[in-house]
Amino acid sequence: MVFVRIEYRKFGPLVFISHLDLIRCWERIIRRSSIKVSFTKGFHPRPKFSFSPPLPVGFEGERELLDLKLEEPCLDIKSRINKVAPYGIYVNNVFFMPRSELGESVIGGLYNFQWLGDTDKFKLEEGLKNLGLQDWIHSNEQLTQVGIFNYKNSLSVPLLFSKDYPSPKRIVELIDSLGETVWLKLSRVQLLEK
Amino acid sequence: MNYPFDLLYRVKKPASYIGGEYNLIKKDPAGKIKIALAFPDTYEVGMSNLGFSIIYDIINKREDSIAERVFAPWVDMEELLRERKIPLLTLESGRSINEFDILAFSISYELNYSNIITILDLCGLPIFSLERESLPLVIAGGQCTSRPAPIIPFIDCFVIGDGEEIINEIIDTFKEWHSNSRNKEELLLLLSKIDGVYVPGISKTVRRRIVKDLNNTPYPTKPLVPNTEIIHDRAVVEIMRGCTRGCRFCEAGFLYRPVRERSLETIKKLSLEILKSTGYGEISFLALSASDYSNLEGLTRYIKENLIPSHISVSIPSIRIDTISREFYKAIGEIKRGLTFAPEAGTQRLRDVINKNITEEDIFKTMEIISSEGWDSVKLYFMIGLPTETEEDILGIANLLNDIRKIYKRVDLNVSISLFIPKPHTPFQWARQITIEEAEERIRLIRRKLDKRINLSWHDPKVSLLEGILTRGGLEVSNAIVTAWKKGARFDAWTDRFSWDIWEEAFKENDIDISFYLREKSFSEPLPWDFVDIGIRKEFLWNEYQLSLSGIRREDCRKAGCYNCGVCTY
Repeated sequence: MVFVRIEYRKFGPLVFISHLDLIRCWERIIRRSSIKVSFTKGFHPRPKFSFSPPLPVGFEGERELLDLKLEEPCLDIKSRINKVAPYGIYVNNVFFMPRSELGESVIGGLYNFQWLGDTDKFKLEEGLKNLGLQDWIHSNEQLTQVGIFNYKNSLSVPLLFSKDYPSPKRIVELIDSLGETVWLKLSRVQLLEK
Repeated sequence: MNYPFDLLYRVKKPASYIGGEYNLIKKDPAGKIKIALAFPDTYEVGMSNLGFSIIYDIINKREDSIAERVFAPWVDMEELLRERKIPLLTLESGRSINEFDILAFSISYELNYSNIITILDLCGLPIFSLERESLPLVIAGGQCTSRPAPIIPFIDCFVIGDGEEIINEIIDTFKEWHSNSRNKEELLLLLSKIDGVYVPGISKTVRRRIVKDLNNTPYPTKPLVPNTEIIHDRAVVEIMRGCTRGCRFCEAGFLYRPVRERSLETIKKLSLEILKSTGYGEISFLALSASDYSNLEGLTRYIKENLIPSHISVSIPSIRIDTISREFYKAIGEIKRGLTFAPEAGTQRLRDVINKNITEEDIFKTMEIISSEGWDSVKLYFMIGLPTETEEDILGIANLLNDIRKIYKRVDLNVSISLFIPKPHTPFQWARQITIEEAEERIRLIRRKLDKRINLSWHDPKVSLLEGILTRGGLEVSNAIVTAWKKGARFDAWTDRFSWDIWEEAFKENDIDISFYLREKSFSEPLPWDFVDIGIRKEFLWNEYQLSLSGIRREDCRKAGCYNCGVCTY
């Protein structure tokens, strides 16, 4: 019995699909790829797979994970999947594993927020502290064009499962509440146990 | 992704506006006839519509044309688009509709009429045809165009009947016109000559187009695979079109005659190709009455031997439960899943009136199968307000259900009651529709008599009233549609959006007397849809109506012989 771990990006238009949509999407990718995987029993069989924790809607996943159980050996998994994946899912790496232990290996995510807005740095720091967050990196860069949103902000926050951290959506709400905001990009990289 | 990230991030269902489906082909628009296909409901509803997907496929298979899609944006999206002054953009290339040659609506439900106006307006087009001098040409097809009067002022040209052949003829005509003229009047005149096309102001009458042989009719084998869940999220193969059961209330039963089947060979071939190209794990075999498919046994064998072993699950809407389908259900494993079943009326007398050919014995036999095969629940559909209905018939619904409940205690009964709308082009087109007060009274009566352990739900009679007016109305109703839209009517088919107050005001302001649309009509009275010939003789429909009033049934004409409705010699 062989498991494969698929490391992929979720980006572009697909940042807007929910986790349930993503599962359906992967089910169809697997079927189109004709890679022989194990299916669940019953009248509505589905490929047996396990996903890393759900990505909030709107967030790009720079390193998402998915484990599959193979029925037959297959060596060109990456190319076979990328050939039949919709724009917005791209497999970067495939690893063979003796067992699937996805649940244990992901310890949290590094979340990145990018927006335009004249956000008060002091208020942002205060807000993040109130949410119980200790570590973050914030930068704001003045844009050369003159406009209402003449600052491009970027914030990186590691959110670990082990600590009682708020959801990334709370951080989005915080920033939205600090003034007029135009979101440019939201993303996550999953943090794995060494 | 064609809309700014920040805009999509702020709407409830951003996935409806992203496009990018698997199997989507991006074509270079240069030198091609550009057609925007519009569906006046949400992405999830529109993408589940087979007709829409067929037309999209036919256009994009042509080298000289390109089809792109727009759907009605939900109210939060509409608000943001207006606020940020962004027009509605197609999902494929993100172009605005002004850059297209043709805007083609697929209209299958009257309660979407207000959304037609939303789409026109958000595309930056005047809502009235007479005010649109340049392209795009606005055309419409779908079930509602068989009674188009209330939307005539908004549409330049209507397509009536099966669209598979006609869409090609429209494109060819457009192409020829475009190469030597820019005069829209000339274009409309040319289009009016196509069989099945109705151009308001030019055509006098129109005949419904019928595709003769489904085996030689194009069918999408590489349909778009949505990235987000839609209403019917599975592969679909239409196994037959039309139905000859002759239920007198059923619009589709008359509108899609004659019965045309796809051969089992074609069905197998299509299924295989679609499953392969989409990766769907579920397939649905579509028909108005799938039990009447002549090779149901062969289809069952195919499902058992080919689909189930490849991890594909199967669903079939509209199948009767009898001995043949019992085998069928076993094969597809529908057991344990919810099942639906429509006796429609509570007494045998009324079932005879509407020509729903099932007896009380059949109903109990069905319940016996349901119970012995281990189904946990069944959904039963009934209508109220049917012609000749009396208190006895209403009580009959409650009595019948109570009797079922007494015998089959283990099976959960879920009952849904809807209000009968006498539809155009059916034998009941002359019948009256009951008022809101009558409907409420009849629902109360059922509730009082029904065993409390039976779950009862019913359609809002006000929604049915609006549907009745928009279905049976004439040209004058169009003004009320515009008024209601201006007052905020959007997505009237959605219970959380429907507001009868808006429509009531709109009808009042336009001097539209609601009762005029509900009353019974005589044979000699002209009907607003008389100019549409769907291929069935009016005398036949009238005769069916008279037979119904005397409670005389008619068997399926494919078994009992021809009643000369006219469609087979049409």
